[in-house]
Amino acid sequence: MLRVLVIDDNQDVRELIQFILEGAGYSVELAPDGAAGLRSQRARPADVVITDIFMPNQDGLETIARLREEYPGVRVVAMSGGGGSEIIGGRTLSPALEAGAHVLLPKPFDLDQLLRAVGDVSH
Amino acid sequence: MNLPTRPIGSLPHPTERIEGKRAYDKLEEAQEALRESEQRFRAIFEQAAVGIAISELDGRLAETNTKFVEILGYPADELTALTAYDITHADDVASTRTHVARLLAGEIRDYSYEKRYVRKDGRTVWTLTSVGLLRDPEGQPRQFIGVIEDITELKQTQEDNARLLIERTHLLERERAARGEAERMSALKDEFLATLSHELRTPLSSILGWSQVIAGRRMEPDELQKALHVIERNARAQARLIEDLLDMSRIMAGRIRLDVQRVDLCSVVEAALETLRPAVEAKALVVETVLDRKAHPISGDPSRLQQIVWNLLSNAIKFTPHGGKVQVALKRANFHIEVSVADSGIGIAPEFLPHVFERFRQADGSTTRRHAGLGLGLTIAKHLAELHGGTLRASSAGQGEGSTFTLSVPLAVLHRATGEEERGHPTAAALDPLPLPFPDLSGLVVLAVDDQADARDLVQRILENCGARVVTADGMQEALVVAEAERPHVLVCDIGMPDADGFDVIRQLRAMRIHLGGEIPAIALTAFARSEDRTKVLRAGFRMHVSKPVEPIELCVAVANVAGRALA
Repeated sequence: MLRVLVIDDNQDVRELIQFILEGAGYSVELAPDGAAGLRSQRARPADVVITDIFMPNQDGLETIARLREEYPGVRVVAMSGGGGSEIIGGRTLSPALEAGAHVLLPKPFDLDQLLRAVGDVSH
Repeated sequence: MNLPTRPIGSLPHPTERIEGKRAYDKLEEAQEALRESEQRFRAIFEQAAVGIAISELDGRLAETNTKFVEILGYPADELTALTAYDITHADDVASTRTHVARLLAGEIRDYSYEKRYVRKDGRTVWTLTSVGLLRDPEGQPRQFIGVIEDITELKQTQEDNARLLIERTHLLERERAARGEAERMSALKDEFLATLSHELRTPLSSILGWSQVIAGRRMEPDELQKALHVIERNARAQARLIEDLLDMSRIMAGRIRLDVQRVDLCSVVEAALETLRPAVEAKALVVETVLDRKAHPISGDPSRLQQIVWNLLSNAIKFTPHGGKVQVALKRANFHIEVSVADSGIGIAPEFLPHVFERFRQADGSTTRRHAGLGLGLTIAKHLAELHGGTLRASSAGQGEGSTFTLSVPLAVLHRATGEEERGHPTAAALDPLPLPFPDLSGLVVLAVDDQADARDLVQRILENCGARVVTADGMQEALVVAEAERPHVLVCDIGMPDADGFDVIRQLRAMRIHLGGEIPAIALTAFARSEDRTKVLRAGFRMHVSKPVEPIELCVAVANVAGRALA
């Protein structure tokens, strides 16, 4: 069973994602911030990490960079409601993608958007 | 010229005569040529479009042409009494002497440079001056010949151009600085918008997600209940966020209005607690309340007061860990009612304490923030407290030590003139407040400013009855003089006055900084009692607003309040 770690400071969002992914057959771990996420990953490594970008304590970008450094094989979905990317000179630049995320998931998201994002990165 | 010589008195030899005639003719020719040359030179000298001067080796001006005279503005005969140095600009004398010395030493054949002369009328004239030497037949220097061209206009244009260039450079620098500032502002705005977007979209994620879950699958009744509850909670959180944004914008624009009534703060605190009961239960917090139900009512907008208390309570709940404790107390402190909310939560680091009420402080732009939220709640609460003539203070023993927020609002004084009782807050209707005693104002110096003598006298009599010493002024000018001399503790100032109004008075007094240890606390006296007027007065820096006609007890309590006097 594919393991997914969800890092978000908003409990409702964490639990929503957990509910949906568990319903789709994934095993889900939750963490309220980047530091807790890294601890969880070290204790029980996940195949896919879904992390928010705006978070207290350790921000999402730093969390992504550290995760990818320690676990090169981990697949990362970056979630953001702050726009998260901008189009400059016809090219979409995203700090999250530069930090090592594989896929961007905008907030709010549709259920199948979430499932597709997790499905895409884990294949 | 070599003329033939012969003995005097002897006749010339015929051939010699012929020779003599020839020589004479030659002389005539030569003299004619010389005359012509002289004439030609004269014509050139006089008609030249440039100034020409011939000067002796010591600089004395021997001869000058018409143009030279014109450029220098001296009559020709006055010039011949001067040297070239006399008419040279003081700053150019040294360089002229250097050039002359090199010329005389044979180092250079001539020189040409831009130099300044001073005209007879004192004006400086810029010239292009070229100087060469006239030599005697032995080749020794005999005189100087100088040619000067007036280039003042050209110089002026050059200077104008240089100035324009400098101005343009400055303009460019200013423009660059302004652009830098605009870019910084724009970056700050972008960061704020990103945070705002995040804060608005996060609750939407839960609302949208759970709605789709409910619509798309069969759920157990308790799961459904839970999902609906999450949706409701997030919708409310988002509504509150939008409300906060609008409040902040109203506060910044000075457009917030208070619907002022007599309010019993106890019921306000209880109502706020009631709406937060689910959050308290969710975290299993213990809430201890100590409310003095005999406390006097205050004047204020009940919904705004509830907003302040709600903000303090919800902060306390948010930052207190599961199972922690929150204490709420309401008591009368002198002429104020104080509501304090203390929690056993994460506390506030000393260095952050001064910034607790700053706008967007939490939304500090980075993606690492202390806590979720825009950080507007406390800023708004503090502004609202101040619009009530009160204060909001924060204290904490440090991180992990919990925090206490204290709202302090002045007591209301019964005011017969406005009929506030009739439209009083329902919860305040049942109250029968104890009459307030007159405070003791002895030792206080109060400056009363009013353009009307009767009004001044009334204020003076009322405050003197309570022991204050009252100095008066009939307008801004006198007020500034009296304030300087008397250093009053409190200002009581009329708003509507001819020439300079109460707003001018407080602005000028604040600018003088005469009050040691801070700004002089001020009370506005005014016949305008609408809520916008009240807001305007408080925004201008007055701590309290007392309506005319003046009620003695209200004025005395207000003075005691702003002076920080204890209740007698």
